[in-house]
Amino acid sequence: MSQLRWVLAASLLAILSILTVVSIGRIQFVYDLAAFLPPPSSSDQRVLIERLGQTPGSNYLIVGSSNQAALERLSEALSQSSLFTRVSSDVPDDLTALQQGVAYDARFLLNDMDWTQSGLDRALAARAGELALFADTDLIRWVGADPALVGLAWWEQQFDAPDVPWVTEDGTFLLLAETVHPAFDLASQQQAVDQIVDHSLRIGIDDLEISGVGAFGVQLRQTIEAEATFRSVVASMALVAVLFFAYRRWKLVILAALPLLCASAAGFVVLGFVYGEVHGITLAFGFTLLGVTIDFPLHLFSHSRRQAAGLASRTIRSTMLLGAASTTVAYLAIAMGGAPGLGQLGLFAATGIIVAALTSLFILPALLDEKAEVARSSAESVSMRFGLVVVVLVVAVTALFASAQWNNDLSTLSPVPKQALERDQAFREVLGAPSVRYLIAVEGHSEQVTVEETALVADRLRELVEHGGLAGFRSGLGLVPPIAEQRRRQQQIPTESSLRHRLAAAAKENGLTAMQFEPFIAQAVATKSMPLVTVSSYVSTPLEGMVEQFFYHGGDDRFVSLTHLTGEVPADLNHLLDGTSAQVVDLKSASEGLVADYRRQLLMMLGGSLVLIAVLLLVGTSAFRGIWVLSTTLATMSVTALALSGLYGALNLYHLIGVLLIGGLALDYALFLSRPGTSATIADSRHAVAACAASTFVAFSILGLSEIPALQHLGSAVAVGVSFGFALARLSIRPLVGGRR
Amino acid sequence: MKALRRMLALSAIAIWSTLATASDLALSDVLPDSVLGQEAQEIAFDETQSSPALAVDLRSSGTLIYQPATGALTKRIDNPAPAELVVEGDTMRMVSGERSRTISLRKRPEVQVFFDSLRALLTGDEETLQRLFSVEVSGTRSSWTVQLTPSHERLRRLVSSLVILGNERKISSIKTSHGKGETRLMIFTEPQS
Repeated sequence: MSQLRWVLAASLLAILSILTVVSIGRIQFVYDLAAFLPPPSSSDQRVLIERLGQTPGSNYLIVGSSNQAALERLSEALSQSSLFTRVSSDVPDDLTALQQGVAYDARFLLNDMDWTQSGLDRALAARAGELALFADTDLIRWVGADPALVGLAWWEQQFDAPDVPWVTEDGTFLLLAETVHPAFDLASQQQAVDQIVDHSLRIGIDDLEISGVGAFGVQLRQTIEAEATFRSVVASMALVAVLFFAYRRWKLVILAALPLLCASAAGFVVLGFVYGEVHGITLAFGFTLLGVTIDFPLHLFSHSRRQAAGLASRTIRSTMLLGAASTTVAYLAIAMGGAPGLGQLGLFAATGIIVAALTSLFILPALLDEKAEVARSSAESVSMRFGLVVVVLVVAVTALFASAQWNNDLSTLSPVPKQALERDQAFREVLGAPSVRYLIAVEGHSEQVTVEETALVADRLRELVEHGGLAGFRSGLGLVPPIAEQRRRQQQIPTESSLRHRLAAAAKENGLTAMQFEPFIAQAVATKSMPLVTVSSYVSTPLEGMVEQFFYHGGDDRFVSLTHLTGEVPADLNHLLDGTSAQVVDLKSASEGLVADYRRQLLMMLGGSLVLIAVLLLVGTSAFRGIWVLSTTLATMSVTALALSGLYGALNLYHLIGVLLIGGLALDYALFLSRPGTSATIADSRHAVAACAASTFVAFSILGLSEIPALQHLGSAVAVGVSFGFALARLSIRPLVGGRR
Repeated sequence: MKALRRMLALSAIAIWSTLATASDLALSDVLPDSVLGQEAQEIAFDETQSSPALAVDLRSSGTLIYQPATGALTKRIDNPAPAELVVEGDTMRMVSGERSRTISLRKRPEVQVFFDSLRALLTGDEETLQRLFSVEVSGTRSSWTVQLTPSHERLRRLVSSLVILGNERKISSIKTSHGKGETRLMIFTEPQS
């Protein structure tokens, strides 16, 4: 019989493992933070969400060293790499490399050029002087194809080449390497970072610094993986020690993991079938919320100390199911938070809770040994003290409403150490990298409409810059000029014979008869009939990423252009844009608004779920007990939130997740401690709750000691909350020997 | 803008080479006196450049100017069109037509090296020249040839060799050869002081 049970258990585990492997195979892991944000409620927020992770400058890797000469060598080495679109803003070393591609072929469409006799005279006069200074073969060829150097001027404009070295106040020289792939593509970022490190080692740079979103991502992945693994191992070991201390049997310690395993397997299976893709954050937070499932087997074990496991299971069934159902309701509320990431998180946790409760109640008992002796004890009840709970609840909620602040800054969710972010900011100031705060978004139903409108906006901005009202701006008009402008440029190109005639005269005038201008003439003639440049002209070319910084399809026939503004923006800028569809986007306030909206929505869902939980408790138990359980849970959550707000100044998303887990745990403790029964079962419940609280406290304290903000905030939130929840529930309950139920 | 920078760097070499001198047997015999006056020196030149990309040679003329007080060097082109390159301290400025560019030599350490060696030359610092180039001196004091070949790979990328012809402590011409089959011959049209 016993063997059969183990075979059954093993088969169950095998089936779960197969299902898990199959669903993990189906699941695609994504790391786009946008999946965790609610639907935008304003156009600011829409731009923010659509451009998240692709804001200007986000694919910059900034390399620093005090050794300037070595940094120059590094720059040369990196400019050969296919992983970077540009290194140190330099035009590629090899001029011939510039003489290909869309922008070069279309140079007479993208730039104004004076095709008159005097214009060509002026251009050749300037070239004659330069060639006399030094007639490099590359330069001669370039001049032969583009005597006014409009293509070269275009490159300089687009890449804003610096003439002085970038150096910070503390003497760190900087090198800018812009990666081909976006910052959130961590595999490519890892390659890019590795390449920089390899070259630096070879060159002998011993004070290398790499900053930038991608570099942080790579570094964090390593630290978080290492740190999370280390902390998890230590926390698990501590958990095992607590469980062994509580139950003194290795078998129980091992079996305690079964519901959690089943819960995560079931969570994966459901996510795999419902969503197909899973956000990285879902897993991290999802496993945290599943922390409550470790309590389920402990209740069973404690109650099986003096009676058969099957009987124990029946004893605690209704209480455990009530607790699980209430927690599930709360987690399903998160699932309706509005963002797909939250949907995944809620579904994963809710599925896990149900499966863990069922595993603990119906599978685990079969795996525990039968106890011959049935405990004999007298009927007993407990009395719930409302005074303490109500006082705590009222005081905590009042204090919370009066003092707690919410942190709306999305960047505090970033696990990047503050120091590193400040260093990155200092680097960016030296580089004059685009401000990532203000943009002007122009939206039209077609590319042409949007580009024309952008040109209108650019004219007004140019005026503003001239009057000193704005430091500067960058638009994508250099890459994709309005159609009308391109047509005008086409029409200005003279006929071939007339161009030959003018060129010959200018060459003679400037002593450049030695020059071959055939490539120039051929391109000029070709430009007259070439297709005009649009955004799609750049698809699959090296400049595609650059074009995407300025233009994108927003779906539903929305074509959006972004103009990047530098420095502070005048207050009346919106007024200046009157009559256009352009809108100033303040990414900072948009992101703050988004987080606030997000939290409001989440809190509303939770409020709704509280009502549901209350109904569940009232139906599942006496009104008196139900109200006490709910009050204790709420009091614990409020005190936890209050403590965290005091500790960290303001509450953030990690705290909210931590408080949610605490809600689940506190509810569970309160339900079990208030369960009427015999003196033995009441003692068992107390034993179980103490074991649960001790194990959770130990495990999360270890996480809370981490240097990584996410782990630290979550860990401390749960450790504080669980201690308080346990203390409150224990202090406000008293056994009544021989009392009534 | 690397093309122009490279161009400037090469011009700088040309200037440097005009000031280099050599002697029949040893470099020290052709180096100028180490102490120079404060007077600016001006040397007129005619230049012929050839390149595989040119149908015929490109000819130009101008003046080299050296200011001992500031150490500034200027290559001024008068024909076929005015242009000017000035190297002073660690910056290089080029003016041609409407374009004017200033480039920091700190970003081009190899170019900086050339100007360092120029200073070495002007102060009679033979050691620095020997460190940067392999030097061959041939001929007699009245008609000598100095061939300089860069010893460093980085410098060789800019110039493959310099052949300087002269008599006594005066240079009459410098022929510079670069990769890709480019050569430039600078002939001094008036005596140097």
